[in-house]
Amino acid sequence: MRSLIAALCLQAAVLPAAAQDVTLTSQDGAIELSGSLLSFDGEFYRVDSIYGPLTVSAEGVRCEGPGCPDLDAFVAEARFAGASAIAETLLPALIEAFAYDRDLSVALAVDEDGASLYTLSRADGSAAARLTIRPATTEAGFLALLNSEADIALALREPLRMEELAARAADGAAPSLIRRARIIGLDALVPVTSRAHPFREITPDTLARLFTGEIADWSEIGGPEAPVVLHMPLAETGLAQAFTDEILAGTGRELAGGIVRHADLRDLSDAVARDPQAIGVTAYSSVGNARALALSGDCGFALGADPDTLKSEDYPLTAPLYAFTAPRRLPRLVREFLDFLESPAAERVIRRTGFVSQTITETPVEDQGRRLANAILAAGDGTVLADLQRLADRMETSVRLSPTFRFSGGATELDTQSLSAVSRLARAIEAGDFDGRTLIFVGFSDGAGTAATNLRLSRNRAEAVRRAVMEAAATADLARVDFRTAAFGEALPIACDDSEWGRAANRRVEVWLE
Amino acid sequence: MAQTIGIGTTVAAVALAAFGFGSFQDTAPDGPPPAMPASLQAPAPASLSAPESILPARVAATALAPLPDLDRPAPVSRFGLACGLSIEAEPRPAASVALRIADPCRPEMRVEIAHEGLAVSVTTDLTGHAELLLPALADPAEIAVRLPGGDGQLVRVPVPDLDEYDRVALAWTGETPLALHAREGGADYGEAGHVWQGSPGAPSDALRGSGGWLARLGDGLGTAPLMAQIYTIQHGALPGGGLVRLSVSADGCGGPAEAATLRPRPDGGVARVDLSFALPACDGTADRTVLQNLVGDLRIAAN
Repeated sequence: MRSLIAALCLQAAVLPAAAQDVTLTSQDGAIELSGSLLSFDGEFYRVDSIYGPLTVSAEGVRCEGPGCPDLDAFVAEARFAGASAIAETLLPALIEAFAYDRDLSVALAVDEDGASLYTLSRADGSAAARLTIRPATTEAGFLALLNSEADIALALREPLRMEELAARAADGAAPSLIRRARIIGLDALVPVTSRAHPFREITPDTLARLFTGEIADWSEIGGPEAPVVLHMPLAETGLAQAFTDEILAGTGRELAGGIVRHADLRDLSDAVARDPQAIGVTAYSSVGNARALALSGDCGFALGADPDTLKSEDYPLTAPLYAFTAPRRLPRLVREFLDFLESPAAERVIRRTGFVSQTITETPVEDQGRRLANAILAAGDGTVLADLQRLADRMETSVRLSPTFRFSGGATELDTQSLSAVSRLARAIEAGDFDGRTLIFVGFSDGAGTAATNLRLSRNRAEAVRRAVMEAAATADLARVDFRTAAFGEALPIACDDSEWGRAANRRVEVWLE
Repeated sequence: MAQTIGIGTTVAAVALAAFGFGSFQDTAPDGPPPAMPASLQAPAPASLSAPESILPARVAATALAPLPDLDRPAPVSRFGLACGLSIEAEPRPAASVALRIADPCRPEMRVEIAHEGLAVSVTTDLTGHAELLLPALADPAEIAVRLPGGDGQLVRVPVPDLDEYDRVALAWTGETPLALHAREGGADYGEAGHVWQGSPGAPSDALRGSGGWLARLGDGLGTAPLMAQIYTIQHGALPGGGLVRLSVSADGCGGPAEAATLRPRPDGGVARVDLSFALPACDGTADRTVLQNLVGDLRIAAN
């Protein structure tokens, strides 16, 4: 239907004399507008008129002419395509929860290609929405979005430069792809073993040596005498690519032969769970019956994937789950579904399906103590006693909030998860969650460079985040919250500085609440 | 097409049950007709309307006794038992309800049991009895027992331990044999921990927390029999927590298949999804299809 309308419009543009198919008249009859109907989303008419394309609220007008849609029969439609890690488990659960929330009944039809059609119906049996989900890869999702074969792309990574450029070429003046991103939830890349395996943590370097085949027997790294069996997702998936990029890049080595590949990450985890000699890389959400190993560094820090470390992005291989929307107005019920994704009901679904939400939480007080102890242990040349005392003072009276801000590639531009965290925090401020409290934006750096430079860098970043959050909290009464910044340079590392991912984890701005 | 109607309208049928009986024949086709003279049948209850029809367990047994007729002897079955429908419903361990349905004068009669949108059909034996252990989907469990001719009764049974279990039901009409598979703690198909009709476990397994249990409901007799399989596992039944992978297998080929899944929700409601999917073409290569992502997995927290 949509393509038919589009075809008609195209014709109208070429032949100005073509029949105009709708006439919208205001309720008092004073204003009349004719043109061909570009689209109707159940709420707004979009009409190609002599003034150009105009959007008119259906509530205020009467529609006449052959092009008028049936207002009552309007069915909101949306097509999702992309990463199967989102499309096969999380999204269906969210759609079902949304339907339950709205008292809509749910029918699921699965076709031969594995695409799912969800029809949400009202109590009288009439359809309210039809949502199609086509599970594939992140790459295929972006492609479908570009080709208008999908309205929402599901992705495990940000668009590549190439994809961003293609979108710009296709969508013209519309906001860039990255501005149309929403983070549905968080996931992470994790190494897994059977629960019978003696290891609890592993260094990224050892992981790389295992997956390149350099270590072929567990006894070489202090384990039992048994050959190593390697498991990975399919090579074309975002997760496998991320593993190669994050862990193998820089080693100059190739993946070992004989790796067992899995199309389904839960199958991967189950296969690893059954075999004490196996090690695999999978998603945090799919660890299932296996056990995730923490990532350790030579300096003694170990970071495990858990809801706190994923929310704060402290866990270095955190991977947000993105939904990228098409640059056109989506039907109201679909927009409401996208808003629902940030509701407490959706958060429960995200948790139940094994993912992590971006809901703001306070990290436990004892956590601050442990972090301070680590800071004292790790204090190096650049950290003096005065810094630590200043740090201890601040930490004693405050708790850390989960949003943590990181900068892509060490630049001053926030990464996508952080941009999303800015808007979450801004909305909490607007809602008055922190009225009468003090929010301190606390900057930290890695240990590379001089202490003075690091302090300056961390202060600049803290200031940048504070400004971004205050600007985003447009409707808040900013006088109700005390906004401050603090900077401690390299004084409170959370990972070892001996690797790029460790340094990236350390370069951050935290939010403390006093 | 009949089976489509059967599954699609069970919710409506239960809703109707609260307002009186008589309309069930429209929504669910009858089984084999009762093989006895009409004169021996119990008189249908005049009319039962809510809330009177929502009787507590036990009390239900007496509610539908035939009215005494002093002019004629009370009708009895060929085994000498008094005619008339009686239903007993009692809570049982593992969040289940034991149903005993009897009408001595109506042997080999199709009975439909509907609960929260789930419906199964069973047939009474030669003495007019049928028994069923139904894993409940809600507390209290409201269960409608529907008989040919429009008779029926609604019983309500408390299920205080419902929130100790995770439970998923798969319901369908019997044209295409479907099966629910639960693979616990990383088990592969056919291994220990794979719970399905070939290895269903028992309520005592769920009770001990040593694994799951699959209830198979509906006897598959008659036309368009209503079938269901319900998987139950206790919270904390997997040491250290873990995942129960759920899948559906379908025997047969060609044409569409329909089913529904139902899950109790923490808020007391039941989440229902009506499913339809295509079976592979009949080219003789596969006689069983396994559908992996039709039913969401169960995540069992560590205890």
